[in-house]
Amino acid sequence: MDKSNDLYRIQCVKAGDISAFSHIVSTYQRMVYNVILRLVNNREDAEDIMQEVFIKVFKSLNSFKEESEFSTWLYRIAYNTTLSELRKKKMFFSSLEDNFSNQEDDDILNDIDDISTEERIQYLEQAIKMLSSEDALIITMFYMNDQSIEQISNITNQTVANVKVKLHRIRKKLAIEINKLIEG
Amino acid sequence: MNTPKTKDKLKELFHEIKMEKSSDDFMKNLMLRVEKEATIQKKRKIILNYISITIGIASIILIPVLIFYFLNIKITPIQLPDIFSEISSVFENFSIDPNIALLGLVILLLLLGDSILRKFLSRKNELT
Repeated sequence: MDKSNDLYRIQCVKAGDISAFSHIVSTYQRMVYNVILRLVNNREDAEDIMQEVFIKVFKSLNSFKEESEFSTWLYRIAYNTTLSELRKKKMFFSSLEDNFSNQEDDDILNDIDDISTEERIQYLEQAIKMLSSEDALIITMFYMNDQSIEQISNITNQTVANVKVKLHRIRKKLAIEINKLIEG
Repeated sequence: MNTPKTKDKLKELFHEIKMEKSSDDFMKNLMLRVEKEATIQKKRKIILNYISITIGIASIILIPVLIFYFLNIKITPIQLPDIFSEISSVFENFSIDPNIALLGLVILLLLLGDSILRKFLSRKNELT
């Protein structure tokens, strides 16, 4: 994603050229859509939330300071909007209890290679839906969107140390749930 | 903090997920909403401009009035210097043909109407 292209398009939108906004949407919609899609049960809900995200981006474009990175700014809006939309739609995810802290990392995800790709993805998607929406967003941004810990800390407005701890816990939770699903 | 084994396995798993595309109508619907939002923002800007102009004019009038009122300053009638009375006497003898004046007024009104119409049409073109 070209940073200067983004800035040029933002300036065009600010100057009143709405069509430039469609280019911004095209650049980021796939990523935003796929992150949201992991959290909701159907495509319609994901598209509704994504629409809210981009409308908020359009509305707040004037407040975007061009010295910061646009993608991080956009993902921050996406993160906050998705969480509030999920709360509004009452899609609360069952937050797993932290009763796994004494479990060793080495014990988890051992059997994952014995099952088919389809099953692996299905189990992963089920496990993500068992996380809290905040945790699900963080882990999806980290792995699927390849966001760095620093970027996630900027997006979620949390310290780097906090994000690291959270990611560690979420990874453990996910691995345990996937293992449980594999064992049936 | 975490074993690379677990981390990599999860990463591999996430990367196995196929990236999906949103529906074809998504962009169309979104841009319709964006256009509506842009129209609302434009209207809001115009209203804000009018409000700020009104407040500006009101403050230009009110501030001196309030200063004069609270500082108890009395306005004494200004004595015009002789030069002004000479000019006014010149204008007293000045006669204007009413037809020419009417013609000038019509031209002025037509120009005003033209500029208002142009402004209206350009705004309509911007919105559509």
